[in-house]
Amino acid sequence: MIKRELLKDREIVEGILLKDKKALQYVYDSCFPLVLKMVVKNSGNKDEADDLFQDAVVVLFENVNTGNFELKSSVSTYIYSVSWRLWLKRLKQKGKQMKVMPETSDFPDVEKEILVYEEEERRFEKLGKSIDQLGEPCKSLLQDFYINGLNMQELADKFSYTNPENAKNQKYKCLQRLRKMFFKKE
Amino acid sequence: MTRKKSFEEWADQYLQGDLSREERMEFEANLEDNADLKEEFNQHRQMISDLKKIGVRKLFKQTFQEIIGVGQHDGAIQPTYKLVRMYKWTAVAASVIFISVFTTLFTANYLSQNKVTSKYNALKREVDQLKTYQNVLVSDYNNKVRQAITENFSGTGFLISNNGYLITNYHVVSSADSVFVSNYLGEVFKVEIVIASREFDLAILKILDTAFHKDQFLPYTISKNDCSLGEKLFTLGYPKEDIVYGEGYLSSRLGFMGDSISYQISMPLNPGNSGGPLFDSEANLIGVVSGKQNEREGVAFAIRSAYVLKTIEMAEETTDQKILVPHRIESIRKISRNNQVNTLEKFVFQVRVYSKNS
Repeated sequence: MIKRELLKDREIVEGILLKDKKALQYVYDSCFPLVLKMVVKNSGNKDEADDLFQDAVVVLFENVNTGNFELKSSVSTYIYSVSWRLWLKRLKQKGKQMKVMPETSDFPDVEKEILVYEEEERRFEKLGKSIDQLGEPCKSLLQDFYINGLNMQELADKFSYTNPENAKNQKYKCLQRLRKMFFKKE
Repeated sequence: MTRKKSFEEWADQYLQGDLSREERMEFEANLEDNADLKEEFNQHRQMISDLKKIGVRKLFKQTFQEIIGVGQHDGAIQPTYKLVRMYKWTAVAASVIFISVFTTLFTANYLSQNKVTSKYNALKREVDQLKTYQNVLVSDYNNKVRQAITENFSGTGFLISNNGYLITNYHVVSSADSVFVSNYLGEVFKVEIVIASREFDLAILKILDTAFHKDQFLPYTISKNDCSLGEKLFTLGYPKEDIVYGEGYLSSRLGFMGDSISYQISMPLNPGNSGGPLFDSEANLIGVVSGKQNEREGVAFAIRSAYVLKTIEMAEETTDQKILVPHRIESIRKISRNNQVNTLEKFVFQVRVYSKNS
């Protein structure tokens, strides 16, 4: 339940769901400086901090979107915790250590959602590679429909099908090939 | 023009709820019989959900980058390009869920004849304030590029069991990307759509929040029988931010243009009343408020409660969730109307729909 007392945080959370400009700007202004500081002090640069921060906001966005999610801390603490845990993992992958640990250890437990997020990123990357291997027109067709949000009429126009129905049938064929490729036994 | 459907087509239409009841059952039976097919279906489902999620994730990052100005320093063409792409992305949610489903609702289901669309007014309330706010927000952005606008609707819904299931109209939630409900105290809960029946214009929602108290008993039963002509009726709904009481009577056994799924009622209703419970004088649930006739004030329609039961049955069949658990009814039959309403308002929710429309 989104509690009434935390109206400010509730507004932010609903704003994030709606991709509301004011709310996202607020999140950036209030949380990014801390994340940037943490990254820069620990062998990172501004670009990496930008990427990390966006990942953390995506984690929050997607968790709120599932509806099962209860924010146990403030929005800024949550984003900072996710950023910190993710950065720790990324440093580890590069064989580096955290130089400066955060001063407080009073963080919400975000381990589960981070694992889910990283697992998905891996799976999505694999799926992306499979789509690349499909070749044209399947590659563009699936990307345009599912990722870039074109509708069937637009697809039919773009790929010169006589009608949306034909584009749809082509899409089904591509999906079948993609599924076979993606779930192919190694 | 009969053409054999491919497995992909079956699976896609099944997931989108585009199959008829018979086709759905046939498809499910096939999956049960054939383990390989079921495996393929699970693969298909995961893949589609991943593809969509990639799109959502990419769009969110893109939006965020636009706002905070990351990645905009490398050339002036980039931002415009991104905005155009963004518009197209948001169209996916609209085109997949909204256009296909929503337009057929009005053409195929309610209205088989032409030019009557204007007469029937689904009582879904557009939250104008929010919409204006969104428009303002959009114009801030870049007034040269067309921009997807977030539409916000609200309707009414009410509990049909004491384990967190609500019912509302299909047309209230048909375009939804996410749905929240709020109760008389203003507490907000996220819900998921369990089943949406275009045919009956009903949708069942489930409160996902574990903080929701599920131990309260319903003070009403869902009537299996038809209500009689002239019966005094009342409803509760959210045509504005606060709950509103309305009363009237059953004026015809048939609904809009002879539709036998609904009743015609005489009751002043407003946008936002859609999905509200319709009670008889002893507070038995006899229908779900669904729409009104445009030209004639006070002429409105409600789906018969028998179809509420049918929809629940369908939801239990297709999802394996137990919705109508045995429960005690706290009878409020013989008490005064204001005491009835005081009890009932706790079970009526505002349904808030967030959707992206192109």
